[in-house]
Amino acid sequence: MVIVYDQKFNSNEWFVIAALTIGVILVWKLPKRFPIKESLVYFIGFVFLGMVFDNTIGIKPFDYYDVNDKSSYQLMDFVSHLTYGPFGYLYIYFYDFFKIKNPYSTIYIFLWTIISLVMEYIAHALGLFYYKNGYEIYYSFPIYLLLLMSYLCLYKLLNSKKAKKETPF
Amino acid sequence: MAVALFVFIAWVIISVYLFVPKRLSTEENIILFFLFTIITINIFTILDLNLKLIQHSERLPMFISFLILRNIIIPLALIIFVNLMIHFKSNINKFIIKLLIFLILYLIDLLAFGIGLMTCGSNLYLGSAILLTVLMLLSFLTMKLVTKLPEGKSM
Repeated sequence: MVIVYDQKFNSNEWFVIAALTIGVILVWKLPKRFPIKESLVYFIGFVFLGMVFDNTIGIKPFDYYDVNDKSSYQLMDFVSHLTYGPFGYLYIYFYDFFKIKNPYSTIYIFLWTIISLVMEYIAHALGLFYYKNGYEIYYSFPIYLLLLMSYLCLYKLLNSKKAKKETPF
Repeated sequence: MAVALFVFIAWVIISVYLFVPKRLSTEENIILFFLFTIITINIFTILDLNLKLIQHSERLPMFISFLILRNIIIPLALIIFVNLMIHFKSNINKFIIKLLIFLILYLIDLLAFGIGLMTCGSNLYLGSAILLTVLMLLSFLTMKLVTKLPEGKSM
């Protein structure tokens, strides 16, 4: 049975459109740091992670939350997943920009986990997420921690490959 | 049993992926894996939640197996498919690869339906064939698009 939370084009849709627009403009306007294909990895990677998690813990048997106005899958659900793209890109961009070294990576990951939780709280308040079956926002904390940590591993993996290519021997 | 079976299939597919000749770069392979998974998840979700054509099991071991199929086996099989399509030059070899990958995925799909991982609302055999054909076609087109991207700094 499809649960309908809302029928109107209101705060949650505007939040998705605003977040995506601001995110894409930021990605577009910031000075370039990575080759296009590497940039795409960081951009699409977070969309991928968002979709995997939302379509794992957001569907039965877990069914911990619904995204947007209905429990069924809508076009706006897809668009809201795209907003994760700029987020993932900017996360890696600033890590690379500030040349953060390993001991400080932990603090960086923690900081972005807090940013993610704040973003999720705003999204929840605006009706983008509807928690079900006892799910609470703080359950997302370990998920973000794990995702952001694995994302840095991906960045390090790609950079170690680049470093190997650049060495002549 | 179902989890063990699908972990084994995933392990075989991962092993095959590691050994097939890869003409695409690491970045291209990663982008394509992400995109193929996104496409597969979207198609399965629409067929499941909206159209009720293919519905996954709600039993936890079956659901875990379903996740392995949807998030690892199908996207990686498609990655192997596009890499081999670039590797082989002759049309006969390309046709054999298309047929082989299709048959392997089709049999895995039928196995998934057979052991109750998923249930099909209409014609199971035709539905699976159409779904896999669409996935393979989309993966091929996505590969063409990604390989045409320019090198150099952008975004």
